[in-house]
Amino acid sequence: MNIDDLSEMAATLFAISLASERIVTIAKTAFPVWLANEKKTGAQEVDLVADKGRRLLILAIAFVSACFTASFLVDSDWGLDDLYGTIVIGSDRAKGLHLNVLLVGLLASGGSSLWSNLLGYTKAVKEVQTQRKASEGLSYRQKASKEGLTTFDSGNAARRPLDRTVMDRMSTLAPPQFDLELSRI
Amino acid sequence: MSNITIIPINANGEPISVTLAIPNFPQSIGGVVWRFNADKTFDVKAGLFTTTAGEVPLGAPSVVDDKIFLVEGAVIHHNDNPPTPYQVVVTITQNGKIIHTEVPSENGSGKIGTDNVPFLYRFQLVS
Repeated sequence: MNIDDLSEMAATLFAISLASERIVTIAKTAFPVWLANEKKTGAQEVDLVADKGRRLLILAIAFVSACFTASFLVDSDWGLDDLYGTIVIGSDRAKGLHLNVLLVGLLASGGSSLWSNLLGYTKAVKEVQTQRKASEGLSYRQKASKEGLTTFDSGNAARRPLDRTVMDRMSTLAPPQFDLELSRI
Repeated sequence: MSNITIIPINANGEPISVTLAIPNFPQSIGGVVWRFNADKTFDVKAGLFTTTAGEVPLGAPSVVDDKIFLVEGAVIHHNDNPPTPYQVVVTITQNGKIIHTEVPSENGSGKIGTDNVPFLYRFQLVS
């Protein structure tokens, strides 16, 4: 998997995570007693045992909503079977990363912060690659210049300049007949 | 037989230039642009071109109207063995806009090995 595909995967999972989080927020707002209010002990600390059911329910909602969102990325008209379909991530669909919707839902339900960080990481890697390529191009141009060559194709290739004999011939040519059949250079 | 490409120009437009280039290929080019009168008698040497300085100013429309230009150039070999492909592109511009672009029919494209490849291109500007 190249960095572009990794970046696309992080962006996809980040978007699905955000959508999933919004759905969870809507559910908490709609049913605050069951989903938003934490069970607390007499000392006003979170009662992890008593609150387990609520937490599991929220995780389940996040997972289902992430799967539901991911199912829209399956290449077909949406149907219930897309909930266990496959989405393809990558510019080359044949070689791209094929991920089951359930797996995508599992990854995305972990929260958007992880995927946001990974997206930032892949962007940084791509910037480093771009800078390295620019640096290599500059170095190539400098080496070519030292050898008396000029570069072209965005500095990725070099060409030899015209030698002096050709330049001399060009500048001293006598005017031709219009029906000249072969260039004299 | 010398083919002449007729290129219409705007008589009220800006000066005209011709650019010789060998884009996307590593070879070099060089040559001369000659100007002839409409009766094919020699007029003036319009200018020289090289790979790094491929643009030759031809003049204002009033000056070059009906004039015929002969591009006499060569693709400079790089001792390539086996021969490698090349393609020369002639571009006529007026007011910075391309009004004609063409690959010369006489040796404007092909393969080049250990000898320079001469090419010719003739065009007439008509308002």
